[in-house]
Amino acid sequence: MSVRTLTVNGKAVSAAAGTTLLEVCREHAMELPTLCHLDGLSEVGACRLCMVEVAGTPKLHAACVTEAQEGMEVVTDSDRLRRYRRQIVELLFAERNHVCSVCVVNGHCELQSLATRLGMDHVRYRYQHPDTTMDASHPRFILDHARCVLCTRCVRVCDEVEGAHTWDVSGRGAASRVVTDLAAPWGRSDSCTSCGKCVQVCPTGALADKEKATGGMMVKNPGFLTYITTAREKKQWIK
Amino acid sequence: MDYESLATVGSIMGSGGLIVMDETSCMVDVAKFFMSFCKDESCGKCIPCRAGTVQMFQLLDGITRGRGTVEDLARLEELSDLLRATSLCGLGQTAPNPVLSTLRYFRDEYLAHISEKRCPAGVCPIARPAVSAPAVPGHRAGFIEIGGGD
Repeated sequence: MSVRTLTVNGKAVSAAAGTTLLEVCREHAMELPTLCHLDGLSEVGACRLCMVEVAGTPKLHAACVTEAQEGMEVVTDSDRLRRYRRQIVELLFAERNHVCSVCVVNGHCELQSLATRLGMDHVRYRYQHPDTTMDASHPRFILDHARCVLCTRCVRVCDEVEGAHTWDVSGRGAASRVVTDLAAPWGRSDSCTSCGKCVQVCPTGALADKEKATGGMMVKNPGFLTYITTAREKKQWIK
Repeated sequence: MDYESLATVGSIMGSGGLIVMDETSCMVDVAKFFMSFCKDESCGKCIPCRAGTVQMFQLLDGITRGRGTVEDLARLEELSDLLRATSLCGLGQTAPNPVLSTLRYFRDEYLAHISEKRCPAGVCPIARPAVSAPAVPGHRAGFIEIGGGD
């Protein structure tokens, strides 16, 4: 196994070839903020929160989709990066109708945690207050577009792990919406197996269990994914 | 004209097209036009481009309607910096270019919209003939203030 040696925040580290910068950082307890990334799913590099500086390159690099290279000098924290990350979370809060106090995952929300962690105490951008809809046609789950951040974790887990590919994204730009089947009501979806993986991996209250549809009642556990996806190779037959 | 010389003035080659403008083009309106295009063309995958182009368009739109503030210019520059540095593809990375280059070369036109509520090129909605009715004592209609102030 070939090894790459590089420095992250001045600290010399080594990584197996093919390892991403995000994996390297986490391995060495240098946490990077992420939203679209989830262990067990493919990377899309869409949230731009894990962007890092690499010496000698003019552009920033999303750590989740950048492989560690020999001799790289990576910086994961700077005034500039902190400013960008905060701006991105502000843009997300302004984009849809995120009202934590009445949200089903209040206190257990990845977007909320990011805001706290990045010091986003207020939003300087104009709230868009889009006229979003809800889909409560599924017997067990509920979809609230007002809380969706378009991370596409639901789309990926359904396609890559469950194999149903019920979820997709329709539209473009600010009009993008996650949809089930061909934008049919979720409850009428032919492909949905009602497994609930999408609900567990959703970082916000956009997808939630129906019976918990009031403030702060739902705690999600996306950790099951790593078990599902790696149990066979790790020979974990019984959990 | 080559790639490097265009880059030094804040432009790119693109498909090689040129647009010739004179003083009848409002540079804030031009920036707004291109931001509107980028907002509509954004695919929505990455956050800075999807949400940032919307915010920048609204700031520019506000300025062309006489509702802009000096703080809006700082916010436009800050969002430009974000989109340029963090967008996933070339659309978001270059979306701020018309804003940055017009702010650099035609900042006075932005300030005319903001401070004087006036569009020098006569293009923007606030450029319609100001209501010049003599001020009636005690009567302070909003549109008269916008038209010329007192």
